[in-house]
Amino acid sequence: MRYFFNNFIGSAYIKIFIALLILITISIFSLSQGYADIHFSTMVKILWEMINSNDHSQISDSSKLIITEIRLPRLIASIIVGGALAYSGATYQGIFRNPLADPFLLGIASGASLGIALLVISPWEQNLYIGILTPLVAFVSSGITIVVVLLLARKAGKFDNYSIILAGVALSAIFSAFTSFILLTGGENARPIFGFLFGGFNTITWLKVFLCTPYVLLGGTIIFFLGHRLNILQLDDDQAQNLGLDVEKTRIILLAAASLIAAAAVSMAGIIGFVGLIVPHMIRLIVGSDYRLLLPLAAIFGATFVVFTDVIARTIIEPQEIPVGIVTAMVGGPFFIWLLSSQKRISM
Amino acid sequence: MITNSQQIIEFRNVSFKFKDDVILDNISTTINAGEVTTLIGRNGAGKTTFLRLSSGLLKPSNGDVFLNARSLSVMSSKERALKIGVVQQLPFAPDEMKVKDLVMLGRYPHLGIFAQESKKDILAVEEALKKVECLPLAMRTIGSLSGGEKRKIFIARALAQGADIFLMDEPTANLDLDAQLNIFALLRKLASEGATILVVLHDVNQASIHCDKVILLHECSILAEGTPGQVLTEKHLSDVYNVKTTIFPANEKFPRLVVPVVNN
Amino acid sequence: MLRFKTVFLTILFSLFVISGCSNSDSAPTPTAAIATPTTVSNLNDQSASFPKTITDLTGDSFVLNGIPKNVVSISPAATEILFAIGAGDSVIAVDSFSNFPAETESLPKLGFQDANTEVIVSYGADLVITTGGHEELTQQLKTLGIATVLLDGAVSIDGIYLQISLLGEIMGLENNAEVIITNMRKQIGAIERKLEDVENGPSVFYELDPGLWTVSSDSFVGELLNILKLRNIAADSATSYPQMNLESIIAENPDIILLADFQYGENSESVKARPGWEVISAVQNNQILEIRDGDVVSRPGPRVGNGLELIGKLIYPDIFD
Repeated sequence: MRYFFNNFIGSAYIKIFIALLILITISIFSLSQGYADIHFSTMVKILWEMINSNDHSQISDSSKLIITEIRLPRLIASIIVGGALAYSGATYQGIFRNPLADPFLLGIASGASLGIALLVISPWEQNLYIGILTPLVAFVSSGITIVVVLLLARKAGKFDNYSIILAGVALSAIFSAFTSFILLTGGENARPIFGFLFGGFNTITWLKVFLCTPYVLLGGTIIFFLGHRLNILQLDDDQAQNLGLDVEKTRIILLAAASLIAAAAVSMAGIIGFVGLIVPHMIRLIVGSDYRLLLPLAAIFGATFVVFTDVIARTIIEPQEIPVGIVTAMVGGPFFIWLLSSQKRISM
Repeated sequence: MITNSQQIIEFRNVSFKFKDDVILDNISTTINAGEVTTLIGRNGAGKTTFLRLSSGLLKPSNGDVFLNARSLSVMSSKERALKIGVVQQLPFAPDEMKVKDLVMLGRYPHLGIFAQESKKDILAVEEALKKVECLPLAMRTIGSLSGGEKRKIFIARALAQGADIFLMDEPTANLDLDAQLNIFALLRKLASEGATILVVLHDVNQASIHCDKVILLHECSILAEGTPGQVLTEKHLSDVYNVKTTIFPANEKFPRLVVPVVNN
Repeated sequence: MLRFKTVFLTILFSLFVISGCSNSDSAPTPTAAIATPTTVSNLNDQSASFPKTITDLTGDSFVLNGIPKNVVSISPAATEILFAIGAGDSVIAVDSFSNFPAETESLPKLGFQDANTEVIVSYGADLVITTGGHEELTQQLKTLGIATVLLDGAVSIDGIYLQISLLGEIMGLENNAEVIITNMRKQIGAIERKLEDVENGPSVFYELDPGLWTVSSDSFVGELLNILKLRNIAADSATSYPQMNLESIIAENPDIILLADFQYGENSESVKARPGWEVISAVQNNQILEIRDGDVVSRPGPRVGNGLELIGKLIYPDIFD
């Protein structure tokens, strides 16, 4: 009677492989798109030379530069940010057993925004483009927000979902209010804050990528090894505990890891919404709610989604650029509405 | 499953306080292997708390709970899950989850680093479903099951855990008569194979008919414990429930029956 | 939650860019190196008959029963105009971004986005000038019977002339207003003459913000760049305040980069340090020019000539000595 247990390992690897193929295809497509007209074969040559550290100067400097210093870091950043946000979103949805959870549920977005708002209006002479202060402040503000949320939840007595969400929503509201206040009264001084709030990859540098990626890798690895516990967490806390899961510890560790990678993503590219919320649901509709498969597929697809929307963001009204956060909302919003109104029950 | 190791749960001077309320006061008793023990008492007497202390979910305020002379508090969740299977009264499971996947969750303490199931685990799930006579339901969703079927699936999960101890909170509540008898038959079978079984019951007759040992909880402590004949007496029942009853002792045709005296 | 916030912020941001750069709270006021337009000092040199009907630039009209004596200005550009035509003594309160001329320093500041109907009424205002983004405030004041004029940030210099004329008419200072306009025409005419021989001005990237926001020719600053015969690489963009990316900038290869985000700490050194920017003409030829007084350049008011001169001096140092 073995036939009704599918061979989990086999089909899972195939699905992941296909997802990776799609990601690689879209990535190559992304490298070939842009305002500067660079022939596909030229692009391939440039990449080849970069890998082999050659320097045949038949190719113009600016073409090389555009591929290696602009499009490539932008691509890598999109992959990391998209993957991190979707991975984080899926984890949050699992921890809170709530299909509406996303990485910004507990206030990471509001905290980072407030930190950036304070930085921008501060009298500090800061180089917002190349400086590392921006990603640093965003990251630290997000971190502080999560820690405060967890402390508030602990004060309420225990680390159950209810207390954590309440604390997160409350803190989120407070920080948003302060940020709005700064925007309203800051006038011209406050303009750069908008850039952060709408998200975008147009000032990405390799430095920003290298600064933020380690945190994504760290948090991502934790989720990689512990994510399967989310399957058990879909039952109530008592059952999960009785089945051998240390519920409180698991919840905190996974929450911290998911928040870490979301904070890193935000510090790299500002607030990019909908990825963390929508992508996990798209995957659920295809492969169901087994987190052992849902998590890696969500990450890969999240990366693909953001790479794709970034191409749209920078080519659709070129030479002008639309902030990526707006494009993901424009693509994600209608899809979200469709999901809500469709008859399919979203299985958790 | 015939187990040679006798898994015995022992309460030694256990008290449990919630904020300032005393729920249980200085309880000492044992739950033995190879028999069906039941916990009886009024609502709010502390039965559910007792059950949660028995699984290690709660820690006593005073005293300790032992599993074969080892304190539950020194065991990890996983260790306890390997030995103790808990079936709650109203456990939550997503309606879309398949039966086989729910029972497979019971294998969690056995699974390795990425929770990949091996052939052994699949076999264990099949065996568990067979034992509760629900193998044909394997591919159904939880939402499509009847009350009795659901109950049995959760028992199957406890079996899949490989547990020898079963703690159940009102396993026959809201079930049809045949389903109720089905459950008790299953419990008796498990007990005969050496399992340690503790069930919380509301119905004194069920306790009387199906159980080997009765623990009567009243006002935070054990009023009486022993066989149904020893515990479910007219005096005890009157003390606890304020109800007059008539006891019909067992004979060849009927088991021991407790019948309340009703004034019309 | 976040989704509502996105909508809210989009609206807020749109309002922000509509009201434009005219509302800056910026770098320290410049020194006397930039001449201020001559202010004519005689008040009320026109005896008009009251009550007078005034039609504002949107076609709405209202009735004036006398020359306003308690003017509140919630528009930095309008504040400058009022003082320039000699109505400064009638101005009793301004918004927090009105920082020119020096007389505004001692005036009470009523906020900007948060300017309050009640507060304005409590000052006994008989005329209120507002600007873009204050539609609701304007409506409320009108309902209370207070003469209110909404002057959106002008998008062209002719637009500024219209606003000066209108304010002149309202304050009974038509002659002064004419003088100011004539002076401005002279100043700008002189600038245009100086540039007569310039066939093709350099191409320029006007950086508003380190997120690479810039101006198109649909904006006030874009208009100034046109007058100076500069080829704005973002001139034909879809929106007035578009965002660029590095690839586009490199492809357009501007000769000059104008930094209007000096107040955020960007300067020519920081731009040179940006990875990838080294291939741009402007960077290679050290043509990264910092605009030190943002107000003069971005505020559509009587000092627009000074703004043109400021940029002109940066770009054509030979022509503008």
